[in-house]
Amino acid sequence: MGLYIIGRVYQTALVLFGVSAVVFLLLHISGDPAALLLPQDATKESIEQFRHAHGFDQPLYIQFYRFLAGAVRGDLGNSLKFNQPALSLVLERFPATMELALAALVISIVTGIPLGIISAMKRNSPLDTAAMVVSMLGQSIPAFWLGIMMILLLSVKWQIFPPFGRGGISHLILPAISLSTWSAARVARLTRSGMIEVLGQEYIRTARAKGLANVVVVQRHALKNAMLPIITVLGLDLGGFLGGAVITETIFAWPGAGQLAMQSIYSRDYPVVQATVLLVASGYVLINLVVDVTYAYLNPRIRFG
Amino acid sequence: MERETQLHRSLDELLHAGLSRRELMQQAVRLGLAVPAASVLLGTGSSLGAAAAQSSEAVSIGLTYDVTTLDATMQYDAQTINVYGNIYDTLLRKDWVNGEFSIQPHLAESITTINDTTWELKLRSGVKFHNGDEFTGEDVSFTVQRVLDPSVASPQFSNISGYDHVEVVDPYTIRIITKQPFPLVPITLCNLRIVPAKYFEQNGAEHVAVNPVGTGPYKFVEWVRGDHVTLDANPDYWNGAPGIKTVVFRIIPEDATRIAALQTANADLILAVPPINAPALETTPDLTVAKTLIERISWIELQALPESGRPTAKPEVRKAIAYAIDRDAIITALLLGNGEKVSTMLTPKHFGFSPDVPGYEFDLEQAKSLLADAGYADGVDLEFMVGTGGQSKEYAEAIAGQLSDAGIRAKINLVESAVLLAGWQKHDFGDMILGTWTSNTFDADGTLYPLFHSGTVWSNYNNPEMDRLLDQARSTLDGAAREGFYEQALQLLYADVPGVPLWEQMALYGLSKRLQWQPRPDQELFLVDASLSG
Repeated sequence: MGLYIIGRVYQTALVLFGVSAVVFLLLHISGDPAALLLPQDATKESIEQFRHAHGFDQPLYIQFYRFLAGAVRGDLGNSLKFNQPALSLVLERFPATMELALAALVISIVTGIPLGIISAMKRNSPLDTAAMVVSMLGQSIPAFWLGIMMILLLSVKWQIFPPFGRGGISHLILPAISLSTWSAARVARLTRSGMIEVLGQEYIRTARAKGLANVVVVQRHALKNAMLPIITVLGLDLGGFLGGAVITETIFAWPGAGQLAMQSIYSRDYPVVQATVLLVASGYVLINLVVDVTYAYLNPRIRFG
Repeated sequence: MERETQLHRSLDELLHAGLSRRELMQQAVRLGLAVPAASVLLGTGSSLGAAAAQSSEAVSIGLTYDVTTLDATMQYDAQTINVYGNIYDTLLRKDWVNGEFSIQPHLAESITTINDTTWELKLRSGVKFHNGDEFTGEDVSFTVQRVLDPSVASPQFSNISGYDHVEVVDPYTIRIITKQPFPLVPITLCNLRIVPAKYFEQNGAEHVAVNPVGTGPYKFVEWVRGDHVTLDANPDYWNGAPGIKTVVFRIIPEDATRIAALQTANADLILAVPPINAPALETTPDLTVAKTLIERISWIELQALPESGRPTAKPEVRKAIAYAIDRDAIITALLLGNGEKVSTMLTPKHFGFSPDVPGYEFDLEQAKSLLADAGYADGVDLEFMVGTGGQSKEYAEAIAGQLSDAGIRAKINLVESAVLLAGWQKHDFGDMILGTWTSNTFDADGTLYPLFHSGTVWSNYNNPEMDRLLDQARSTLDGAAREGFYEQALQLLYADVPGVPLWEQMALYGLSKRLQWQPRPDQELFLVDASLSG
């Protein structure tokens, strides 16, 4: 286990280095922050002054080296636009994004898993068909479309939920649903197929033959085994929520890191984009590590060398 | 019934049309505006929470993106100015009375020229910053020094790059010394907010960026990044306490959501209403749309440098392009009338504008004839770089369609704004680029110099006569002489066509009828000029 964790940390460092290099390169070749951040009538002199002050007149490899040297010390530079440390800007916004991502995860679990179980238990019934149609729709509908429709119907027409912003639970519901729909639908379909497979196993027949109640068979024997792939998917989806929040946060004016990333990408605020990507990538890698360890705990057949 | 049919048709469009995200948003908002009417018809309307956010003393304003800093010597993008423009004051202020532009005293009571490079300003006495510090010439000197300091790298540097330094004669008299005669001193002072020197030195720039202190009509209360900024009225404001007690600027990036905020009374004023949504908002009870023509113009820059080897290096091709574009049709069909055709690169709001300089009117036959004269009787292929922002793609497609009627086959290269600007500055965009331009100086210098003086990052034109005229115009304080130089420059642009002016843009704001406020051509948003009814 110890060796496994050391290996994973090594892999994590490699992944983060790779992500940093790709993001750094793509950002630097796709636009110039001086053109976007300075006023249109900026003189050549002021553009050069801006580039020099931020080191953009240096060769790309030197800029990347400086970025890496700072990153290992926890210094991801100052935002070009906000004139504040990039890392603290992103960290300040991260709780809002995590709140949204966790709420979406909860919705995925409490809707997707029961829907999948019911479908599997009532296989080929109208209920099963309806549940699978709903989950197919959930996987097909783009989050931004659903978000806008919910704002129009539930905020503007029926005025049940506020249309935007962060506040209490009422503010959280619409963006969390919008973000989670795809995942909830996927979880429902996976739960259904997993449950159908497990329910056909001999040990389930044995459990039933012992006279165990249906609820006990499903909860104690079937669900635990069917859950293994679902946990993996939920872990991946939680990581995906951190990235997917870029669109949802923009639509619902949710003040998270996703909205900050969007604004920073448009203005080529390199340090903020890099800090956001590094944090999201770190979160993604960490979540996957937790998922793998949980997987091992749930499935004794898996052992780490 | 008609509205129900419209609702169903709109829903059908949304479900089936192959729309881009932006198009979908616009369509969705149209539907959203139909929904309240339909809900009344269907008896499902609810007033729950509709006016909950409204207060008789507070207003909520929907901005399009987050404020970047509240340090008024740094970033000055539109949304940031909208907020800190209410916290800080300028020495002079732009004013429009019945459409007539003038520069009025503000923190400075007067401005006079001592000689060609020295301007003297008498400052208002008894003005206090929100922290109690007294406003004096030292604050002006500090502000100018900070913006000019290369190590600060202020984005506002170009605004006052013609200044050399400030001399403080006494606490209420200062002199601005310019490097050369710099006629733009008064207008640049309308854009320069004065920050408190002592508070800055005691607390540092990082602190000031999130805890601003100015002399303005509103005091800073709170900034939750990405969410809102709250300001409270300054009861001791030197120019009279504001009527509206509290202002909350909400950050709402999506057009559709911003409009929903206005419809649900979660906002009293929203910025950047897309033209397609304006008619529906105007017909909604309690809401209206406020519009004004602004200094920003849409135009096409042409690659006119002979060494580029591009077809547009030939003046006949450039003129053919100018003749082949039917701007009236685009303004009617795509801008829905929310813009005004311009003949020159200057609008009537600019100093230096001349109504005597003609423009190119749509004339397809002239375009074809000029193209044949240039040796392209069978047509010509051009590369046309266009940014993804706003409705640029739609405008470009319309323009390319019109050009093709004249035999000009413009291939659109659609790129993100950052790529467009980089291509433009590196002079690597093909033959044509669809751009917008504003300098916020309301002076010909802010437009003509950067765009058409040789050697600037934006210019793709090299004409020594143009350089001479623009250099002379920016180095004399004689207003009449400057107007003469600019008229000659505009005539030269008409003859050479290094760019095709298209239209003057219009700013559209969604407004609750309980808020009385007039939009300004400089797009600044002064809440001290607004009031609430009811």
